[in-house]
Amino acid sequence: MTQTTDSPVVSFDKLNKSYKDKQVLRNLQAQIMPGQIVGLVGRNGAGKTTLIESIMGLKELDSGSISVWQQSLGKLSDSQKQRIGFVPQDNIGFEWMKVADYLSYFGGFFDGWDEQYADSLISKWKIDKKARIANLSGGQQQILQVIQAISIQPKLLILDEPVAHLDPNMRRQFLAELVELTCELGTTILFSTHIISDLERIASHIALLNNGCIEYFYELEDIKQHTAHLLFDKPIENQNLPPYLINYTQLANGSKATQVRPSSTSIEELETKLNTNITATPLSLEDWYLEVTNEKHN
Amino acid sequence: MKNITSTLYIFLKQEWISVAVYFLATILFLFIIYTSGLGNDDPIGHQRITIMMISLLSLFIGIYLGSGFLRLKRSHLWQTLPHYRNNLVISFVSAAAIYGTLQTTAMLYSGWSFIIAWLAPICITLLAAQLVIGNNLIMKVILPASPFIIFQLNQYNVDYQLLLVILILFASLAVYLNYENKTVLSDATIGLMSGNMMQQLKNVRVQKFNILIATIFQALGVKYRKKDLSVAFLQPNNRYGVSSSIGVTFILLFFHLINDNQMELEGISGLMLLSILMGVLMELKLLAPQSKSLAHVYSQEQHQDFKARVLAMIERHVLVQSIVYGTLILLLNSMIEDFVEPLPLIRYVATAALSAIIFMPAFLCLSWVNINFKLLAVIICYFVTTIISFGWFYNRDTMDILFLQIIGTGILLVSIRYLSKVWWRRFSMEQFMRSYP
Repeated sequence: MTQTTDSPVVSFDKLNKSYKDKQVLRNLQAQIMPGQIVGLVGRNGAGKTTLIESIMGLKELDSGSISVWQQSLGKLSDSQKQRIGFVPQDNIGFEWMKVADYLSYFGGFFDGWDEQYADSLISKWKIDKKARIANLSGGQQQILQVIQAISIQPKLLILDEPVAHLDPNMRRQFLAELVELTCELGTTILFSTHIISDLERIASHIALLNNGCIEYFYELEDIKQHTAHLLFDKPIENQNLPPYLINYTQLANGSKATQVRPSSTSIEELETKLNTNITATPLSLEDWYLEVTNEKHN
Repeated sequence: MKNITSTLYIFLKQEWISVAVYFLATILFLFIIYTSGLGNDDPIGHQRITIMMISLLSLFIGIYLGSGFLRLKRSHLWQTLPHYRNNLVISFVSAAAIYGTLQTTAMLYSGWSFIIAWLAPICITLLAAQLVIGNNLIMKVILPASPFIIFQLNQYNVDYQLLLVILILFASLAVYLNYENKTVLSDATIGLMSGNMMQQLKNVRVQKFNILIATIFQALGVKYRKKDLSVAFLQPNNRYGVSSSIGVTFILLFFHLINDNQMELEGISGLMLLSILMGVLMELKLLAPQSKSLAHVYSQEQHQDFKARVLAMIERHVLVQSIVYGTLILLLNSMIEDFVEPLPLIRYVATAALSAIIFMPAFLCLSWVNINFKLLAVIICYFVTTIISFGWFYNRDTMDILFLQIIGTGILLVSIRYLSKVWWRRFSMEQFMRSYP
């Protein structure tokens, strides 16, 4: 794999995808750099699964291109494809197999398959190797797919809502495993989820998919430090509001807006610019998500 | 190579016992053909009968292998990892070769040359698997039927070696198309046609049909709140049946144009009917688990009773449908045949009834989740009874006791089916349904 730390692992270039009349991806552009753990969020139907399946080549795009390790998907060699771990959103689909058979069979197709590691995860997550997959719970089936995906020592790991069926304990263990994987192998991870608290634990970057494109793509720390509810002591003219402020509302004794993007302008500078006093309350990631997905046009 | 052997192991492990069953059945076929005197006076006819019998076996094997292939094709690796796709296709062909080779002895015994005896069953198995794997009507109906069409070309004195070459070309085409079809199948599309309830419910005709079915449910005293769901079980069968009938009618017309051998024609009609029913049965395998949710919608508390009733209705529907389609197709045969040589209509109706009855145990076999020794016993009974009844049927010049034979066969087969249902199948179906969330 010819890759430097400066070259993106995944690049999306003007992706467009429609289902009948509905355009799901609209000129989508983004890049994921090595070692990043990118949490992909968005409302139901925003196109997260479509985007993820497009990276895997499971969905055909209307236009645009996706590059992985700076090569188009079709040109990736078999050995490169073997370094991509993938956990789909669907059911595992091999209910008739036993856990051990499932792992050894599918693991056998990957050169990097680490059977010892898979065994250790099986024991850690208390899954019976002799059990039939049909007899596992939904969460155990999901974690089995995760084990299969991470035991191939992936350089790129793509997970589509991998924790939806997991209990909090298992989720914690799973997230810890992802962090370990990134530290040890430098794995780049893209995962979609609706559980925002998980992102706060492990994501290095947050990508928000809205209206068919990645509207927000920031480092988690930037979102945490530079977003806030702003309370003004008087109404502000709309045209004076900088673009990084959304959801402006007039109140009885002032007005409010939300800063959803990092800005070089400090609160003090903004106070001077708008000629008002501002009280800023930092946003949690979940608040930020709710604000941007319920964005009103100012 | 390691992966190929493990995939092959999965294929064979799923149906390991069927290797023995089909080998046994092959020998049994030949034994019965010889002892019943079928084709004794006509060595060529005898060879043809053998190839038809072998084709029937290969059809079963093909469907089993096709199901296994589809199961493994569900992995996203089919689309993302060429290595996996190559492996699966090679293993699939190898498994077909193993099963096909097992039948070589039987073919050789009937006087076929080694090359035909070895390759023909393999090709027929690969083509029969398309009934399950094929992703469109042509692949599902025409390709599995192609061996029968190809062997009919012998009527024009085309050499069997050449026919074998054509058969190999068709089988290679089928495998190539399988390889090239990169679509990963989801749960909803793993059957022979879409089993997605919601998609079907959007159809206006479905909704009309639905009201009819719901009325029947109501007449049965079933409380229900939403009429829409009941159709999910029956409509797919109808859709598949209608589309298959078109294909089958086309094939039969083709036979009529080139063939004047009644016996073969009736036998082939039976095989064609089998393909329709196999479609229905595979569809049922997909839809049966959904009866659980249906039961929750329709019934208030008696879910188990309701599920049993739904399953019984499906089975009844399969039987009725097989008789209706069988009779229609054979009536069409008789109408065309009347231009050549008037034949008693009763013979066609009788064939249809016989076909319908013999397919019922096939239904039992296919709805079984795991093949085991009990099933082996049932399959042996099924094969013996089927072959004996076909032997009787075709060796009679008069029709006087034909219906008695059919009734006798029916009673025997339904008894086998009933007993197996009481002893094993009910448990098996429950287990089957429990395995789905």
